[in-house]
Amino acid sequence: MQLSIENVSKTYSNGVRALDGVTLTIPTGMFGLLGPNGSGKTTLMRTIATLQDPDEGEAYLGEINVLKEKDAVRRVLGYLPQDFGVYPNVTAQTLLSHLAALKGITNAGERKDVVEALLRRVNLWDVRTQKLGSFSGGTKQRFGIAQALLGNPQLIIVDEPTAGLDPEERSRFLNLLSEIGENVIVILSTHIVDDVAEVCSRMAIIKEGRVLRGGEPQRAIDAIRGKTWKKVIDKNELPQYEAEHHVISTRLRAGRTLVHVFADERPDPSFDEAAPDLKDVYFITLSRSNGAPDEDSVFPANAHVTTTDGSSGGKGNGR
Amino acid sequence: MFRDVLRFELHYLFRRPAVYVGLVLFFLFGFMAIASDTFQSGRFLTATARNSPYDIVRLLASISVAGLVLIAGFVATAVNRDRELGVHELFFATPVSKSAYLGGRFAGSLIATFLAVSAAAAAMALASAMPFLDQERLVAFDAVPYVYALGVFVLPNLLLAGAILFSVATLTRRVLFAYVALVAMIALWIIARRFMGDIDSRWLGSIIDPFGIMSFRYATRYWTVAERNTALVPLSGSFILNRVLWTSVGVGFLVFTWTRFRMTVVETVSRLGRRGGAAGDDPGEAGRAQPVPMTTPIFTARTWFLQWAKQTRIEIGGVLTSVPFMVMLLLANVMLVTGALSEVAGTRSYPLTRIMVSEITGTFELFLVLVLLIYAGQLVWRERAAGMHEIHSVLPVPDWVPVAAKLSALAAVSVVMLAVAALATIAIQLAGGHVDLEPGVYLRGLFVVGNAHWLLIAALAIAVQAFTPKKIVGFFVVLAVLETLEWFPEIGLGHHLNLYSSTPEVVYSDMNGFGHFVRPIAWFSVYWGFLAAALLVVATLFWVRTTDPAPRGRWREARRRLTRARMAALAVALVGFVATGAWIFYNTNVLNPYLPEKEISRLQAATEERYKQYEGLPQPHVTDIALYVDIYPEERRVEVRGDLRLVNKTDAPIEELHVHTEPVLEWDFPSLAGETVVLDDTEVGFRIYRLAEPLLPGEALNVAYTMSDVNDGFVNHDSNTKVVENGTFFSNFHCVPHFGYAVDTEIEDPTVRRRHGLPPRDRMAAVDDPVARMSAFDVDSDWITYEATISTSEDQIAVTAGYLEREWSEDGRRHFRYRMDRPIQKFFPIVSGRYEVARDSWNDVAIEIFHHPRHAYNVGRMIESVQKSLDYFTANFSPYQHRQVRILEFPRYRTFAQSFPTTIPYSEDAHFVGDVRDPENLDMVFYITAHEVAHQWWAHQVVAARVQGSTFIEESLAQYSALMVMEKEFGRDYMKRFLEHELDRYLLGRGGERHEEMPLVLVEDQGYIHYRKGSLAMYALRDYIGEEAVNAALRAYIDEVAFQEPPYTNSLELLSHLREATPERYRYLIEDLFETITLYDNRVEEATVEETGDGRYRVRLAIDSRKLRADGKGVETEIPHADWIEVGVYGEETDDAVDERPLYLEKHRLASGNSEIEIVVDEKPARAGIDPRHLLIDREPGDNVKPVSG
Repeated sequence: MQLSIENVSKTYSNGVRALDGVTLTIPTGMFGLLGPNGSGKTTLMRTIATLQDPDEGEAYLGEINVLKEKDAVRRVLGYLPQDFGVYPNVTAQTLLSHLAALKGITNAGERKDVVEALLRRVNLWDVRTQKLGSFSGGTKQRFGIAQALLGNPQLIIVDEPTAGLDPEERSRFLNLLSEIGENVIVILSTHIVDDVAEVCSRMAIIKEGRVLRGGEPQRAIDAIRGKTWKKVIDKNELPQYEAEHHVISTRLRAGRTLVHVFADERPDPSFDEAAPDLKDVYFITLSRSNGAPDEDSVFPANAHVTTTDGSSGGKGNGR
Repeated sequence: MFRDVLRFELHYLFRRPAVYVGLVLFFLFGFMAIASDTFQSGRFLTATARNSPYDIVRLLASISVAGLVLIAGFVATAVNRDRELGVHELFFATPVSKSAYLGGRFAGSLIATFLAVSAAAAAMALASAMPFLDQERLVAFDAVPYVYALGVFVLPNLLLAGAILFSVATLTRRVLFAYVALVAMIALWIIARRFMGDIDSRWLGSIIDPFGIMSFRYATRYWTVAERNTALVPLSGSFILNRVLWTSVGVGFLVFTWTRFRMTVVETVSRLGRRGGAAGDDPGEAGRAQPVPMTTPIFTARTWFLQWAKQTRIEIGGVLTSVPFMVMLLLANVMLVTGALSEVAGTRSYPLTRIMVSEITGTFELFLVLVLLIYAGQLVWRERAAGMHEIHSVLPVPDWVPVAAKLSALAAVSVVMLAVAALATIAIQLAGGHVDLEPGVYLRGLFVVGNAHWLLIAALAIAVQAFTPKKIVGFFVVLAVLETLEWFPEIGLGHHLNLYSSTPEVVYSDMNGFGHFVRPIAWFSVYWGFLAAALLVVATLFWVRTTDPAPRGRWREARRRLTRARMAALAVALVGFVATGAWIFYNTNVLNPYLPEKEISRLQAATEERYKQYEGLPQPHVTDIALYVDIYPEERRVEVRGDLRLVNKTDAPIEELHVHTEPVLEWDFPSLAGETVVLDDTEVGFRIYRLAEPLLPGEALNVAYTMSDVNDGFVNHDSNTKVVENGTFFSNFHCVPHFGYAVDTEIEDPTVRRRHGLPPRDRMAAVDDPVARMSAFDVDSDWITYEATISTSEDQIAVTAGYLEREWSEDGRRHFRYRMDRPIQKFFPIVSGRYEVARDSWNDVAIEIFHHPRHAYNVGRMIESVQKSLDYFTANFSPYQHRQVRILEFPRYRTFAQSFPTTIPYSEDAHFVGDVRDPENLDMVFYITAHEVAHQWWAHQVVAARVQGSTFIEESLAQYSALMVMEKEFGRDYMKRFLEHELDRYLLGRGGERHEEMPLVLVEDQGYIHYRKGSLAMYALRDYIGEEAVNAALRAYIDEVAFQEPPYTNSLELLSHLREATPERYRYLIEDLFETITLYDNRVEEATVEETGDGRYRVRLAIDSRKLRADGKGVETEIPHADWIEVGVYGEETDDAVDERPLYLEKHRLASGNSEIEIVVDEKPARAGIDPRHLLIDREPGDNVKPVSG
């Protein structure tokens, strides 16, 4: 089974063009959808999750026409929205069991077992009798994960799932996902490069509604191997470096600035070769202001992205 | 700083359309209140000016309550708005002080509301100047009442409501709680209104009404038309107490809020939540590696059912556990219990289940609508409000499941509310020792007959919420739809086919159950059910399951969802809607005439225009009536054959016979088939026959006729409740044709007459009008002979006036033959029902009570009253002319008792179910029975002419007679309590007068005069001149006029007997009590006591006495007097409060103004005063007696 998205475009009534001819083929396994806030990730997720219709384009999940046979999609879908709430006056166990019934798990015994297993998996078993309204953000997020896994979904869509999780929870969740994702399609939408780097076998980078780049993360990293260079400079030197080089990223370190630049050759001996990672791929891709998606070629450009630490803060505003 | 916040708030509000919408609405509201008859409703019938100061103040006070809607919208949200928009943190970070912030916000929103509501005052002033209004009903413009009303009612009420709502919303941070506070205030207001019904709790009601409307009503309760047109309530007494009290409450709330409010941001995550998180952070190792078991989702019809059931359950839980719901349910029950208790106390009835059910439906109407409307919004928007809609929308659930679940949940909520209410009233019943709970009546009354209506409202609300962009918009759209429907009758769309969710009114009767009301209700419910189903299908198509609810996408999605099955469902619903509508139309408009109120008055006007010309045209008089009546109760059909003998009692030949009949019935005159029909107006029921041979003076004509009263199918409104399955009751007016123009069919109300271009009409002929004095009960007959043979179904008993001569069964039907052994006036009932009969006797008079088997409560008391009445009347007035007295119960569709010769039908509600066990309560059963028995003398022996004062003879004397029987039974102290109520009801009645108040001797069928003032005047006369003197005069009067042929007696003849019996020194009473409207303002200003030294006590009284004459509008003029007025001194009240023994009670001759009186009594006095027993009419009876001070 694979999910194929063909030439999907969407313009909101306020004129924002959220998707612009997106074409993607997503096989089983973990698929990372990477992009900055407002890039159209959430719109794409919601489109696949039958929550909204595109203006143009088609999407098929195996034989199912996603846009027309919504109910068929919903029967095999697990969905964790980017931002969600719950009925506040209901306990975790009650609501999960309720959702299980709505997901077609009609056998009461089965329902009881799956609810218990999921609550244990996401570490909510001890708080199962507490009202959901009293849950903190991370706890609530774990509940969201549990409900997305109900009913053995064939297509799991998780939109910014690690936001709000602490590092331990995050890695436990990613493990859980990749365990389940062996045989089903899991689409992980995120702006955190590490999420994708850690668990995704395939990915796409999206910006301004367009897919800038697709493929396997490792191949993308390999493509820039030997072309990324680093150097520690003074902060006031930065403008000069930016003018002369293609700076991918800068990072403050002990009052000094570490710059990564992208160049086919070592710019000068003061630069050391840097081992490229997915972040470099991401920033290089994003820094292209325009151009067609291309799996392996890399385009120099002037813009760059600054982060202060590996993962940038804040969350998407694609609502 | 305050000014900045205030300016900001005003600026914000005045940029929003809501203020202007409110302004326009209140302007329209005010304008219509004066200019529209609909708004004026019952009021336009009275003689008070449309724009009287009384009405200006009253209307603006009511409108100020409507202003609460704006308060809820603006004031309650003033602070919460910041929080919702998330800008409160910004505000709190600025140096604005708490006082400035709260004060500015509150003042700004209050000012905006006040301005919007004040538009009503401007509109009322403008409307008063409209040239199209009836100028006779207007007074000149005066700004004072407007300013008064704005200052005394509008501003304080808005301030109070604003303060409470602002405080609740601000402190709880939830606007919903503010709405609950609003409902609580309205509940208090309604409870206060309940208290106004009872003379003893009125004062309390006038205090506890937060809006002061009841204190206004209390202060103006005895106002006459003249006062209403000129006066304002003085700021004193309970009125000012109410205003000050509630304004202080409002200020108190503001102060409390100010002290409790913190300009800080409160973290909303509860402690519980953090603990929950902590527990989760410490995972149980055991569960970590457990694999998630495989499940097998199944999607069949069973799944859909499960999904629906599960979703319904969680929705119900959502409503039932929400605090506002619980508060409203509690409020509703508090109101229900107070209401039901005061209803039981007020009517002094047994707490019957039907009374409880009608209390529940009455009280819960408002709350059910509110709960359904509010929670339709809450449920439809529940997932979106919780942020759960994305998860919920992508569940593999058919589109109809959430729609159906939310509707089912609302239905369940309404059932829960009504069930809780039923438990509350069952508790009342059990507490009252009433164990006959009639669960079937609860079940059908609450959940079968009434519940379709709530389900339909819920369906509409859900469908509307599915389309509207916001919860609050949906709420107001539904409210607007329901309110608009209320107006439909005014624009000629009053048919229930036009009024969503409405059905013809249903009246439950213990005797007749739900009777014939069930069928129309069932059909209308099905009809509206189909429309609701169609709405719900459409709602399903457009149900939001998307994060991008732009119209274009929703239409596309709706087309996609419109499957064959749904298209079929929609088609079935619409076809069903049209088909049942057609069937209903066939029943209400084809099988039966559809007669809205305006059509009825049009027909009345047409009758008058066409045939009034024949009024007074000589016609033969009916002298003998023989009826053959076949009643088919189960079909609600009556067939009448009648043989009438008509005699020309005039001295000229009669050439034309005019027959005036009820047009909805089928009439035929086979014996006149040979005569020429000059005119046959079937529209209004008027025929003219030209007699081939004129009827010569003294000659007789036999007329045979048939009449069918057939009730096929069902009607839209005003169903025939005279012919029903159990408890048929109609009179001669229904089954005997009228010869000549029947003047009684004319429109009485002057405003309606003017609207139809009819000339003004006298309410009654002048007391000495010689033509009018020729007729009494009816113009076409005098004394008649009467016999009737009536058949009815096997299980029923049929009764009419007269003696039962024969009873037999034939063809499975029961037949009864009755004959009256002496002439009676043409006035008899025909009754049939499944009766139990209680029999007793008095001398040779048979007493029979025909009653519903379950209503045996007071049958014994009725028999006693009949016996004691016969005792008194035969001993003091004249012999009883008949050999039987029968009382018959009929269903409560009509609520009176009526005394026909020998036969007295009583409504179920007229104390058949009254609870007279408590001697503290007035025994209404005993009293009403005595009154009706007295009519056998005053109406059937002494027959009054149809002129002014006729009801003084018939009703006031029946009241007097009943009072005397009661006095013998209960003693004189008891009468004081009875007369207090009579005085209250007389004084209350004066303000509702439509034309003008008449003196008793010229009373024009005005109930508050001939019953209430009649009791007071006759009892006062009896007290001054003595029982025997009054009775001797009445005996002499009966001797003179009983059973007389026309001309019939008038009130002047009665009065001359009473005058003769009155000694010279009390002669002025005849003028005061009967010939004029005379009131006293008696008051004791000081009462002191000192011991005389020989163990006795000297009481000194300073008294002020004034005597007033009022004209027909209530304008009073003081006249000097030197009248005999009672002065009394009373001892300490004993436990036995009923027996109030005076230490001194004598009539003193007192001059107008101040007097000093000294009285020496033997025992220690406690209270003393002037006219302590309220023999004289006094508008302030409360100041007549005072405790004496040492």
